Amino acid sequence: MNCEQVQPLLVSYLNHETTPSERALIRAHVSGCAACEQEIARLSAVQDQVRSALQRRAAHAVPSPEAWNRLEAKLAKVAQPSPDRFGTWLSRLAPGVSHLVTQLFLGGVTMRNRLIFTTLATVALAIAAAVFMTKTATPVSAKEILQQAYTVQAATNPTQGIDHIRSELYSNPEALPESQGQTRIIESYNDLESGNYRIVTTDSQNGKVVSVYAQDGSNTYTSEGDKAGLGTTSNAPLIIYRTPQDIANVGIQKRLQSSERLEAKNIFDRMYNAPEVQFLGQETWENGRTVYVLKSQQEVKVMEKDETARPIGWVTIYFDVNTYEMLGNQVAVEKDGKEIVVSSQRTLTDEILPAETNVAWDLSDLQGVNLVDDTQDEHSLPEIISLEELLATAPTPYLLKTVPDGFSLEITAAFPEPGSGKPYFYNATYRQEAEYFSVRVWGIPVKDADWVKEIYTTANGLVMYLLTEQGGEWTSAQVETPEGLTLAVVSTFPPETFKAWAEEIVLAK
Amino acid sequence: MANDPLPLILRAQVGDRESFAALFGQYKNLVYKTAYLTLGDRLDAEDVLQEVFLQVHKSLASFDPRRGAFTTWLYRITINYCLNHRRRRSLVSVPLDDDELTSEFPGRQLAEEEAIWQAIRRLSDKQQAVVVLRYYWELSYADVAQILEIPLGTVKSRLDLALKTLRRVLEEQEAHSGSATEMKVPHEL
Repeated sequence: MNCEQVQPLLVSYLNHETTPSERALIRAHVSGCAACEQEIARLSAVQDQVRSALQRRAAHAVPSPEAWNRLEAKLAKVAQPSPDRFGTWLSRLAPGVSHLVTQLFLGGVTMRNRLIFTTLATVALAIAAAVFMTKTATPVSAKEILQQAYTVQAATNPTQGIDHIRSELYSNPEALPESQGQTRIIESYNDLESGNYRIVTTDSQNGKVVSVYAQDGSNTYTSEGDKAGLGTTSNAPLIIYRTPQDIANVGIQKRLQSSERLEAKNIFDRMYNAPEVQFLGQETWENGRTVYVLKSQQEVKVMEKDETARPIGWVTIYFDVNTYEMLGNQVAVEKDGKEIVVSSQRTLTDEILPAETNVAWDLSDLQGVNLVDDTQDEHSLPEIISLEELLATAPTPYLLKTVPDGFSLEITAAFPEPGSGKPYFYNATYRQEAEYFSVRVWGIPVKDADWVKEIYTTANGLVMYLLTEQGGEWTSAQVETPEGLTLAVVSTFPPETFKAWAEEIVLAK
Repeated sequence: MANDPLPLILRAQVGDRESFAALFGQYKNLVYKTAYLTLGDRLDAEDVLQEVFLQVHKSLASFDPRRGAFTTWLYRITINYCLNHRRRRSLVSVPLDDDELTSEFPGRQLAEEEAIWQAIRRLSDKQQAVVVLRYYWELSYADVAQILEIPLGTVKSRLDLALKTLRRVLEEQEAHSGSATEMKVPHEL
């Protein structure tokens, strides 16, 4: 080997990633070549410096303590994309926008409404940013106003009646010249006692309904998302899925209640290093109310083609001087020497209606929508197949002999195209409220005895490897079938019940 | 093995939130630090952490251990999110890092480390990924190849190019004994 051949291999050599023969050849060459020897020493030093730099940087980088709470809230939203009641201080502080903030930070986003979400999120982020950063900014007056707003709004927590908020939202995420953005009206009603709610977003130009979330005590209503994205030129009616509430909405409200509060702190943390806020004075708002005007210079998100850019822009917020409600805001950037409004929001109505007010929680008043019954919440779940489909398709479907009394059976499955070489998969879960017993394909062979607590064999020849648990009321096992297939069985049952049920697992064809 | 994820995965796959929370707790640093070291921005890393675990939650039911280890899968999702995240962002300027280095460093070491860090930021996306996986996580070339779904030879050449680029930056740093200087990134593989 000569230098030219050796040098491309030196990094691999240092990392012990050369073959034994390459290694021997390199060593032989280097022993007689001062230049390559020096190169090795230099590269080794650089590697050490890179490691050191990465280690030191990473040592200080840890996820936010709120990361799990944020994620959990998002997961809850994904499971049921219905907004929670607007009872938190955040929503009162920024009525009409809180839903967007919720969507942005609590993750009520699906791919199908991503485009519009991005737009709204831009606005929401900027608004949320402004709200929270101002609280920490140095100018005394701005800080005082924000502190007052925070205190007053936190204390404003009505528990009866119907919270009614109507907002107008202008979105121009690409910072196009004036008036090329989209204006939407978001109207929400929230029954503070029953938890019923409805949020309807319409295009202000043509009145078309573009998204809906609602709950009427019996059903939840979820629109398919804003398929038209920023434009609403499509004449197709919006599809709204109606799903029984007991199927669609287990435990969601409670989780979101706490997560919104936690999220508020998270937003605060995110904006901690934002620039200062200026107090510009007082103005008369369009409905005659007097407002404080706060303005800050900060990074805002705008869309440039399909990419997000983060120019420095201006956020202006208007607070009622008496109630400290946030009545509106505006986000702008400078482009070609002009100030272009990227978004603005105005609160048109913010009131608590009497509890007996008649509100069409079931959306029966909406025009131009197509209400579709989705009794199993299928539109938001992975593919579910019937038992017959499983038996017809799976080569070795292991299941319980029968569905136990009081339990339901749900099967999800994926059968790759023949010849794709990918394994098939199914998961059969027998469920009764919080209890369940689940059987699924599990491809990995049983080989690691460290986490096997007990091995036993069922009467029909299934070898069960019960796994060591890490706390909680759980039993799980890997199972080897006589055909050589590996299954996984997981249950909320204690081990003895688990074993009794496992005896009932059979090859179902 | 106390931290074996299989029992947790099994339970999370059937919808157990506590197990998913435990998985998150066990692997959040893997995702977050990878994202931070790749993107150089904590807020972006927070975003990626959320996105990755949302994706994990969505796809966990179809996770198949026959196709590779859980961590391989997790690294791959994370790197892919980072690459997409970067692609979407304006690359006109390298974002300033939010980190504050402590004063425990002598000036020279601080400058060198800062130069290295900024130089890593300026590597191509693909080179950064191999640098982080190899030099921070100390993964083997074979693991890196599996995560990135590239041939072993490509891992070698990317790392070779990356390291030599970084060496040049350090040499320039030494020559100027000042701040990080502009550099040319070699042809991206």
